[in-house]
Amino acid sequence: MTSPNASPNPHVLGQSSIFNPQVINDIHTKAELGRYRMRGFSMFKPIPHWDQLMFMPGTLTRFVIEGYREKCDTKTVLGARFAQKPLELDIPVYITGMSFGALSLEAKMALAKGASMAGTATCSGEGGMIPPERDLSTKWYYQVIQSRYGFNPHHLMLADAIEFFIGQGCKVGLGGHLMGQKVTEQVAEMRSLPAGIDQRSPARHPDWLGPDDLSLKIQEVREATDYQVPIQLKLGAARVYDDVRMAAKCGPDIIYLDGAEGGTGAGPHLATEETGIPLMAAIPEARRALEDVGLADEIDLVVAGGIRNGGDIAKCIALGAKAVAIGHSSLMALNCNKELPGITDYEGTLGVKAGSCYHCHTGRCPVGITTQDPELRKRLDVEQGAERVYNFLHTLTLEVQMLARACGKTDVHSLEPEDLCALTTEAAAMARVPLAGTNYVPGVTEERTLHEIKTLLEKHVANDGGGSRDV
Amino acid sequence: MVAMSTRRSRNDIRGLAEPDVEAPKTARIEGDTAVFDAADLSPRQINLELRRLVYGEQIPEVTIENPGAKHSVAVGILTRCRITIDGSVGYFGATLGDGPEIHITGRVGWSVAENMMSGVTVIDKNAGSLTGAAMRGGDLVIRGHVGARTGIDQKGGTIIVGGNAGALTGFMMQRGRQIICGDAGPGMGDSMYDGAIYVGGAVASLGVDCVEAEMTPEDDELIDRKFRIYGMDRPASFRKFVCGKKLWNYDNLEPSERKLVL
Amino acid sequence: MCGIAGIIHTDGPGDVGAEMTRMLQSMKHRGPDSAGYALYGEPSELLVMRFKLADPNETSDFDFSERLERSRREVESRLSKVGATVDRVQGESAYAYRASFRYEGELKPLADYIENIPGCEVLSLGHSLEIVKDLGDARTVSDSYRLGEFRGTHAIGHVRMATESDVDIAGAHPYWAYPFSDVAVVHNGQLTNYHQWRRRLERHGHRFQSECDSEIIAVYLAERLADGMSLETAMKTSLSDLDGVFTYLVVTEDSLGMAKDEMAAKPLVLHEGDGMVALASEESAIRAVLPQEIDSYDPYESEVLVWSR
Repeated sequence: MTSPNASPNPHVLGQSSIFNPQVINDIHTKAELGRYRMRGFSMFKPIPHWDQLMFMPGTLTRFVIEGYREKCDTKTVLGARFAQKPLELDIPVYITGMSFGALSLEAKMALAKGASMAGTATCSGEGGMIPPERDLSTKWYYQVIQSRYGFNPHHLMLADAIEFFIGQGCKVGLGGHLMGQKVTEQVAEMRSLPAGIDQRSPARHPDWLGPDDLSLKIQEVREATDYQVPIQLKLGAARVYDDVRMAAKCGPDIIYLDGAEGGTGAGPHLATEETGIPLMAAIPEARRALEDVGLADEIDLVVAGGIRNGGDIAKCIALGAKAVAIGHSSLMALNCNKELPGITDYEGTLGVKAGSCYHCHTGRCPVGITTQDPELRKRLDVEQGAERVYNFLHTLTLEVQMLARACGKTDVHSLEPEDLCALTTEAAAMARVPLAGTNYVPGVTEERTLHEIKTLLEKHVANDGGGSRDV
Repeated sequence: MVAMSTRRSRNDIRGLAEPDVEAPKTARIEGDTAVFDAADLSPRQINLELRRLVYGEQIPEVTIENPGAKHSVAVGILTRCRITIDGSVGYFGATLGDGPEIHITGRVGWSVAENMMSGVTVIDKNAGSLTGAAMRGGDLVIRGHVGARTGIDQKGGTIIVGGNAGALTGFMMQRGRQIICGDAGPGMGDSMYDGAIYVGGAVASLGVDCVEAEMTPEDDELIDRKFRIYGMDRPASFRKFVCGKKLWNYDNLEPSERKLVL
Repeated sequence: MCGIAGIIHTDGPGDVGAEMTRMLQSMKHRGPDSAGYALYGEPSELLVMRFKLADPNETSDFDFSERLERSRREVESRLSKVGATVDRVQGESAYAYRASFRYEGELKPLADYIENIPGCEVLSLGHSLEIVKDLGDARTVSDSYRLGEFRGTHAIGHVRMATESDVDIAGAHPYWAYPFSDVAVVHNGQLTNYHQWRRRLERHGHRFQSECDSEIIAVYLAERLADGMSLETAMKTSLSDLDGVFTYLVVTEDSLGMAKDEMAAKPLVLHEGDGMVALASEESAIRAVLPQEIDSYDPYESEVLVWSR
């Protein structure tokens, strides 16, 4: 495929920014293909993101905690609402659900081991439980997902927490994908499917169709697991205020919100680009919803989607998350998108440079993470991978602590929205924090002012004995 | 260490969560059998009593009286035993089980025997929708009619329906078989991956990628055997429906999506 | 999120108030925020109007009762002005009232005129329909409105878990098909072309008392009934006109109907017995009035059924 001309020729009038060369190529490809285009990875188009928020640490107004050494707790307890055994994590970060099938056995094992080394949890993901992953996990989420691939009540009993997957940020309202290239005999057998099919998972659960049924489904799983472990509902962030209110009333212990920046192992490019809202906008909406239904102190909020560093995590916690889950960045810790000299050849095999790879869905991952190919899988060493995952999780925690200490906190969970300001009005409006250097919060300030005017006016009218005068 | 006792709220808005309940210990135990009355018990109490009897007292045969169409009754039983529920249960009855033989003499609500791994569940009257959802093994027998989406995402085992079935029977079914004696509603077998649906009556319409197949002597032999086991009258003839396999794969792949090894 | 229930006696009046309370109370987990009833008593020559003059969430400051009394007198005076002969107006709760009167004119101008009084909402208007809805569970509402004494032929009811709108009476079902006499609806599900239909019906001159999609169904059906369509036909057209997933119950002066959309994603259990038909989101509600061994089944997709008293 060739790109249309974009030469510096002085006789060229210009080029459409709407029908740019990429768009034209995309149309050409779709005209050949006859279907939506698939890809892995996170969002391509720019959206308001964490980079537009800044911390306002203590200087003289606040006592700062020694940044690199003094006590700053990171212990994170999730799901103490009804569970006899709430999930206790040493750090406020854990590894989100990614299926065996999307990921290789080695990747699942390395993530599990790395998470355990860091004192935190990992999650089964869609394809069912693989015993080596469970063995290596000290804290393990078991997912109740729409497809119920490989779902087994015996495995349910082994869970430290149960996650109902209802939606994901990168493709809200849609089910998962696994292209036939990755549906090996083993993966297919675990999922009770024919090998080699292009698997499109259902978007709805098979045994409940609405929130009334969901609350009964939660009751069922609590009955089956004897109220031992927390129940978490994972939602893709879209109509967050209403969805979280509804979810909260269904009776979970934890609500997990996945922002639109979230990645995927395979999804329609269009769905990844065009569904959901940024996590930065979702967290304040979720907090408001939990407060409005009176469950802000009972239900814990876990968030995920496009998390890259400890700054992102600290900002999530400040806006009201109890814990943050990471997916794609943990794969990067395993070498995703890294050229390994003498081993990988990104450009030669996938046509893109390392750093620009989004080909998880093809099953041809050059570093052995998102593949089932026995040869490619050899490129990921479980022990070394686990070490890097641990290092990354440990660093994230240090970064969160560093920012928390600078803001004068001896516990990372003491971070609050008031510790933040925004660099753009968009970010200020979405995150509901003031624009840097001002006390202006778009929307909130106006509403507050209107309310003040209304109250003043009412007082004025009342004092006037019914408004004998024009106001 | 976060103090959790201070923030634990003991009631959910709907009143469906009952964390702090103990088994009522009201069953009458006689030798290998036990009976208890569920009229005044909550689902949690019913399940705790049932588990106490099955796991704690090792009683192989338990009867639950007056279940009152309650939800989530007899869920997650992972051992061989025989449970009779004398009456009707609500949603999620006899689900997530592996091994038990459960007999419900009344009707059941939605999602009965959901994700059953093995064992037998027999319902004498009608069932609601989502019957046998994501079921993986064992036999699920409904002597009456069933609602919509019977055997949705079914992954194994056999579902037998004495009466009619609603819309989207066998929706996204993956494995196993369904034997419907009466009529089936519109969209039957929609997007099924595999498995077989046998229908004795009329089929309103087939869903996407569901096609009719030839009945083989093995099919007839299997149906005969199942009907003999459950003492049911067999309709004279069945038609068999399977996956057309047109939806198994995308028609085209991009160059980077082509298979490398495997 | 909600639970719905309906009951109709085909062989003469019964204790529909008490029966509906038992049905709704057994489904409290489906909606503990508010409960609502549409009850049909003996048809009368008089028109019965149920209305409220304030919301339970309003703070009752010192002139609250004074203002309510003023508004109540205003209702009576407006009824007289339009030529109605008032039989009686009685308080049913701190803010809800029941008025019975003789009136031959059109209902729409009457309802509009009454609702023009600040804080006033007409909950129902008809010769036998009476809608009662308030915060709390069915038992609480029944006790405060003395519904245990209500005898009649048919009723529908609703328990609500407030989600998309606030916990208030405006968001509670049943919905009276303003301004059509004696038609009311309860609904479980959601309509995904609600705004299209709302704008269309507003262009036809209808107005809505709430932001709730369920109210569309009531007005949609009543408009077709007023055009001369039978209830059953009107309900059948609704199956293709309304998008989304829904199961609804509708009541008119002499009938009770149910409809389920083609996706069949919202539950309903039905028992048809001698002299009585009972329907509800869950079987437990039917068991609450018929504890003996009965047969019940789930109506199928695209099914429309109507029973008459």
